[in-house]
Amino acid sequence: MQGLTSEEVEHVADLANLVLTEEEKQKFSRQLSDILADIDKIGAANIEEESKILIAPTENHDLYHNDETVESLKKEEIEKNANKTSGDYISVPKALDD
Amino acid sequence: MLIPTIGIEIHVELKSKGKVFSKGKNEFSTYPNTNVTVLDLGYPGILPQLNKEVINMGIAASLAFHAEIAKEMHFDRKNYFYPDLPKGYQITQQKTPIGSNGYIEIERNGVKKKIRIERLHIEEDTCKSIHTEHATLLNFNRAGVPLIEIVSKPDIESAEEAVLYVEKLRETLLYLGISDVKIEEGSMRCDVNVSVHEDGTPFGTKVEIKNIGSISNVGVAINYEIKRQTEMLKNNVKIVEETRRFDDKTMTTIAMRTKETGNDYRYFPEPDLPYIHVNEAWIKKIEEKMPIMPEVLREIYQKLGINEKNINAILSNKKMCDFYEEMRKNMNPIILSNLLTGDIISFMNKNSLEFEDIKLEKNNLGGLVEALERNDISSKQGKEILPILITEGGDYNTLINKLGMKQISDADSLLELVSKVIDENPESVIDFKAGKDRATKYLMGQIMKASRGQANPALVNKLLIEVLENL
Repeated sequence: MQGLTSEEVEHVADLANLVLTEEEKQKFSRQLSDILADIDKIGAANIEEESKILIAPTENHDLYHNDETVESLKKEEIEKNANKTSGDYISVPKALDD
Repeated sequence: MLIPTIGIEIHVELKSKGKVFSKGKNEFSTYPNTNVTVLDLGYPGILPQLNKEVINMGIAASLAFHAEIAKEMHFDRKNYFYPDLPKGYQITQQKTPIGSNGYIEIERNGVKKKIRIERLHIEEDTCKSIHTEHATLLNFNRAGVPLIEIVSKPDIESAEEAVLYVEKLRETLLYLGISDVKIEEGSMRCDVNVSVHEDGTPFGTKVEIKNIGSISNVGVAINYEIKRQTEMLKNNVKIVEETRRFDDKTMTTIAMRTKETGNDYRYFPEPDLPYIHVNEAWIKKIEEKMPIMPEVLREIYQKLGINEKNINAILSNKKMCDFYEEMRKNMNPIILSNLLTGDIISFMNKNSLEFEDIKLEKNNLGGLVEALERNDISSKQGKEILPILITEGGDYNTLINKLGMKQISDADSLLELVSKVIDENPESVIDFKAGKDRATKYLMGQIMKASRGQANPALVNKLLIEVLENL
């Protein structure tokens, strides 16, 4: 498996709105390449029937809730983990790039 | 000659009680952040649980749009970084949409056309963000509300077809009762892809239009975009693939700022949700509960002899249509349709009422329809009685007697009236003999007046002509 290029790391960082230094790019390029190499080992495993591959790490299936509802979290609980609030809203730095 | 190619993606909010992956309430609230759970907020360590009712609704929608239903499904993560989705991904169905290869049939100028549906899939809605001058404000009431996205094939060739497609889709979902489908309130959202190409050449570069706030503006936006792209090509300007937004003030489309990197959602299967299996028994159960679809009702009404105008008016109001369906089998369906689509709709409009707001007692309306059918009362009298029946309710027969409205259809008493009026108006008799039409009309008016509107007009007319001719 070929490692990730610096451009690919940049692209992934850009998708996550992260600004990386040259040093970080090289470091992450190495680390991400290692991770991908490990994943390739899994991919190389010989599985006869593709349908036996589990997407969810459980053999349970068809688990549902039956349209039940619970009470909402209270205002204080919702705001507890927010850096900033404004009236009843959670406020975050302006994000406008549709 | 340039040919437009149009595809439409529609997001519809489903009306389940709970949200799609949490038990938060799926309810509209005017207060921000009042229907929120930790799952909706996307906290670390959460485990989504699928709402079965959402799958039921997805099956119903797939059946209504003639789509194949996936027998084994899973969900996928669509990864993107934006504050309306704090966990960094949206749970959706990329690989295994619940419905695929369906269609909607539209009819234009008597010609039917199938618009193919590529896929229907279930996903979660994001939270609603409001952009102020310095900040983005988040309201999580909408986060996790179940959505169905319905993607058409690029089979639509004009703005008119697009509007018909959206209307038909909306009507179908309304009859299924799985969504409010109000485009103005955001429970239905339309994104439109438009391109133009020369006949015999490959499709042109497509432009996506978002933010269209009404069904009629779907048509306006498409026509604007066709014109814009046509002019660009005429002037040899290259069309770029981009997303534009519809501006309802200028009725034009405006380019939106786009990220240069483009979309890269890195879809992968959602490992937190196990497989879902839908078997024939489950589908059958949903099928048995399916309401009669408007296209089927239309055919039934046509066979009953209801005119197109009345059919359209009844079908466009689900509550009225339910009422009509319940009532029509026990009485004259044509008279009933005339009452509902004429006097009752105008009463609703005049008083700004919805159909469900008006008191219409089934027995009383039935009595009125029968009386009209038997000619016990005239249609003019019907118009007078109806508002009283609606506003005051009460027993139909008592009301008729109270108003002294029972129509006189007894030939003997009518003949007495006719003779009396003729005696009083000898000049009209001379006019009649001279072949003047208006003489009969005048005499009719006098007789009706003398009977205080209660005489059966058809019978009076017949008797009057007989008497006049024998004079």
